[in-house]
Amino acid sequence: MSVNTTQKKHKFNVIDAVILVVICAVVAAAAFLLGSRNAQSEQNSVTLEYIVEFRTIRDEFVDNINVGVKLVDASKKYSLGDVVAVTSKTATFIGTDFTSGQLVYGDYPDHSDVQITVRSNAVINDSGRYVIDGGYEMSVGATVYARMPDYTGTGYCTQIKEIKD
Amino acid sequence: MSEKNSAAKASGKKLRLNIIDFLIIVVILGAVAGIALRFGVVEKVVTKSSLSSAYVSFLIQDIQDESANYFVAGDSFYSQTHSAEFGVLQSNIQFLPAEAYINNEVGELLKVYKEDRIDVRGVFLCEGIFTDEGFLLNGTSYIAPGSTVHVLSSTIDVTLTVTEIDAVGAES
Repeated sequence: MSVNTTQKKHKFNVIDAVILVVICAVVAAAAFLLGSRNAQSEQNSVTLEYIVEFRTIRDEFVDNINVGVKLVDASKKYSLGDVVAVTSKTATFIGTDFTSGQLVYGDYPDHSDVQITVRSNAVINDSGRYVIDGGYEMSVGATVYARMPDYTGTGYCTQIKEIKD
Repeated sequence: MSEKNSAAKASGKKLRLNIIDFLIIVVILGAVAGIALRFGVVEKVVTKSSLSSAYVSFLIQDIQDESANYFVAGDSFYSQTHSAEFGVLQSNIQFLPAEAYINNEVGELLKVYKEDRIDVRGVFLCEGIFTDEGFLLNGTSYIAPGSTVHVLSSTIDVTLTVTEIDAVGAES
């Protein structure tokens, strides 16, 4: 009498079907998201130039902020562009003249305000906002947690414009 | 006959991967790779042999003057911020009067110095990697001038601001 040596063929069952459907859905979603992002990139891509100001930083840090470095968002690591210009001036202190009741504008000793001009590619999203590196919305007033090779600090976007290449 | 059937069963079924198993494995590997890339895990896998030494200069502001006794050259400090060793305090420690800024009666800001309070400047010898994006303490944690780090030794617990980072042998 012979032993039944035929191997059982795998039967496609409901569980396999569910797994296949889930995998196909994930792949389709990824393809849709990537495809729509690329399409949007091509249609709405602009070159942006914006200014980030670091206020009242110690003078000893001013020379650490250099042209040519890459600006990175310190919290989520978005690549925010290249620093194309750096300017600095003595930080301003707004005090009160208690004798006259007037505001007095003077220098903040040993501290400076530093402005960096950053150039970056961006896209304009459906809300009309500039989006850098696929997810960072930049506008005047945005707080920038900046990370550069030789300096890290918190600044604010004070100007923004599109430039023609 | 029954013995032959038992022998066939006892030989064990070979595990055969089918298309479904293959797809599951591909998706899992893709998810793991995606997480690794998103969180920079790959960048952080550094062997100890690739670390280099750096002098990290610091400023600690406005602490009580008695704390000066607890800054001892040679002490190792631990970074609470990064949950890792920070470095070894070097001997060139400066204890300076703590700076303060006050608004005088006519609205001008003046720099003055606090009694019984000090600022501390010094240097740590640290290990890390110099990259195009900056210095990575212990090869994993970015620090740069401007960074604030909560450090502690066996005797003191302070917050410092990094003021300069120089490779050992490269300082002017």
